[in-house]
Amino acid sequence: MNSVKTLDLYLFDIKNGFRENKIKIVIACVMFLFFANVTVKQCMLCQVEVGFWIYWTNILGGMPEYIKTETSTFELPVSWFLFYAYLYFLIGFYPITDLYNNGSHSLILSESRNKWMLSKFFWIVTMILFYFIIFTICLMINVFFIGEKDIALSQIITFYGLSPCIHSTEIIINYLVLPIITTIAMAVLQFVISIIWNAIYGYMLSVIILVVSVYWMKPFLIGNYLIVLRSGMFATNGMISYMGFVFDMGIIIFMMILGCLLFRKKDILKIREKI
Amino acid sequence: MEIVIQHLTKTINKVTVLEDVNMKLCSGHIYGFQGENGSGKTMLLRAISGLLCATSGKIVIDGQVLGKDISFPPNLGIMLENPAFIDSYTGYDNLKLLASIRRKNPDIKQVLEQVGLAANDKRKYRKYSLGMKQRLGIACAIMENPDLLILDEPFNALDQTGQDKLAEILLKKKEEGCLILLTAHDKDVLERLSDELFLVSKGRFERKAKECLENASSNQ
Amino acid sequence: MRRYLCLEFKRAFCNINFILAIAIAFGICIWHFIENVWKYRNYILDGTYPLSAFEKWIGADMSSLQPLLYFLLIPILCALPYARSFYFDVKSGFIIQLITRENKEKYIAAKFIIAFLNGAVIAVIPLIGDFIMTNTVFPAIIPQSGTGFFSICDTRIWAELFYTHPYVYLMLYGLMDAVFFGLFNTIAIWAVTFINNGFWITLMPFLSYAFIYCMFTFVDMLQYAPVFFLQPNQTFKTAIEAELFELLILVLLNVFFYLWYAKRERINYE
Repeated sequence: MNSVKTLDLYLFDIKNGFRENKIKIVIACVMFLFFANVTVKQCMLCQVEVGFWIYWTNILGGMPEYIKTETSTFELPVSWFLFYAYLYFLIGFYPITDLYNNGSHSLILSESRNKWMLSKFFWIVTMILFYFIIFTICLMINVFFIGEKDIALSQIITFYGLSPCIHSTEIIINYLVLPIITTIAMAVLQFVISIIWNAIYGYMLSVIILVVSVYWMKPFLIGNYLIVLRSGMFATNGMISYMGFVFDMGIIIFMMILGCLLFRKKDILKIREKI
Repeated sequence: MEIVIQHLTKTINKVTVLEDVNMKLCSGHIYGFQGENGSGKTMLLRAISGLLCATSGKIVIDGQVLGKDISFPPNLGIMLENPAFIDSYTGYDNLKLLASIRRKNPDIKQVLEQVGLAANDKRKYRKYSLGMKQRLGIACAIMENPDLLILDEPFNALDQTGQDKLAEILLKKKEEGCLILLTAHDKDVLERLSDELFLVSKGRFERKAKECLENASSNQ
Repeated sequence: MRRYLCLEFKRAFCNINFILAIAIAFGICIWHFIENVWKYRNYILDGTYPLSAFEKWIGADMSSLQPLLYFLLIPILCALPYARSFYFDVKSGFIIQLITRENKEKYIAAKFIIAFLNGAVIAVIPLIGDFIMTNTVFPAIIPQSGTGFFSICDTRIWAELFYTHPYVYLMLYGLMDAVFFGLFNTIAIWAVTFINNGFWITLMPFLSYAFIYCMFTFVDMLQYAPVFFLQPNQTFKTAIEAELFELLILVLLNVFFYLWYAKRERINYE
């Protein structure tokens, strides 16, 4: 009966989503080039022998566990915060814009609310992967032109004095796989809140999770899995990767099911919602 | 296609917008809904299109319960309220983008000409007049040869030529077996086009006697 | 003008988002109160100097989560009730109904004034509430320099005032916060010039604020980021001239865009 394929909806979302966000993507590229440039130049000034992954850690590593004392000052790792806060801004509003501002056409044409939700989920995953790819490319450009061209994973172990037993798989998991999956989990949480309640509150929740995670190093605050410097590789009591996977997958599955169930009952009252 | 509405009631914020609606709608007919502003016409169209969830009662489309077995009626063409499209695209591009979802490859140029819009118009949607926006909304609703066509006040903002064109399109679609649900403020237009007319008042729907419709048509 | 001000005042202050924004801000303050104030209620006289409300309230705390969270989120909270109103007026054409009844310049001016007031109120009222709450637990003992308990050292702005007339210091800082957050809130009004998206408009004050924070961090001049210099604890040494300069930029931008809208023949999205 349902002749519309999720793939067709997804392709529509890709076209539409990129069109809606093209200026934001350009701004992201400029931001990444700036981060990468500043980081590479700072490392060169210090005359430290580094490479691609050290620059990466400098930008997206975050900070070690914050220990509160009488004289400590709580600050955010700025580049890390801006990277993720901007990502949630980039992906947070397209589903709502598609649902309300563009006339709900895609929802009606999809012939299935679940397919519409699923298509948006795949769009979110695609955008997150794309975001990480353009960051990598921007960093690569700076590395290639002005930085140290070493891309070996072993430089992380040497530079940070980590245990030589650490396998490259573990590094890839902590640097790429886990942050991407955690980002997807938070994005799904934001997506469901924006569809069911309000997009701005969904975004605020993402920002709050990021900030609170920097302050408290707890396994259930999933923002901690985005902070590379808090992984088990760097800290003896650091975040455990498999726990991160469990929490992330749990959030993704739970929120998608909850979102689909709640969205099924949602009345789309206005074609052009005043949001 | 057959739509059976059984004891449909919808309450929003303690206000009953649809009250115990019962009707049977069949393909190849035009059903008109006439009533004051705020009487519930648009709400019923929203409920049938799957955008609203009933508080009680059900809508059965070809044996499948809407909201349970299916989320939306299959092969639906719809225009509700003021149509909304992407401001930075032309009319053609807007329709082309939407047509890519169902992949039925409709002849968009022909559909645009049918509603009285130029197929090669390079103007963006934001530059369209109200009448042009209305025509584009109609084009979007009919472009994929829907089995169910829901049009909420499609004659608004249309000039006489546009209204005649639309009436012609609706009669042609009816002959092709399409089930058409229509609301309008112009009583004469509704009576002329509709096979059955419902009077709506405070969420209640009442079928207007057929003799009245026949008399109205013969008087014209 | 008065009629516009009354109308816009109702739109800004009599809506659920205003209540929610204040509630969220108060929520952060209450969270800080429970975690960092109430816990220490039995230790007022334990140290070398009694614990004071001027040291324990959210504005004076630089090591906890809640102050940074508050001062980071406040531009979003300020923008929630009213930031998009001008965008909606222009987008929907409602602006025609408004300006044809009196005067376009007065309408625009009313928009800027109310956006400013709305931001100022949302930013400052919870801070006042937090200080009053802290005073229910700790005495308002005058701060003492040299004890090491108070974050304001003598190189900070108005440091002398803090140690002699702390209430005046807090009032001045409250006024500064109100002015800055009010001006940041008006960014949503003039962002309508080049943005045609409700979400962007609502988040423009926050994005500008966060962007400034990040850029100043990169150039190692954190003290000039409003996120820090607007906190009464003055975590980093800053100069009053820098703050006045930033204030001037915000004021000039508002004046420029007010004149831009006032001179334009039509205000709409084309």
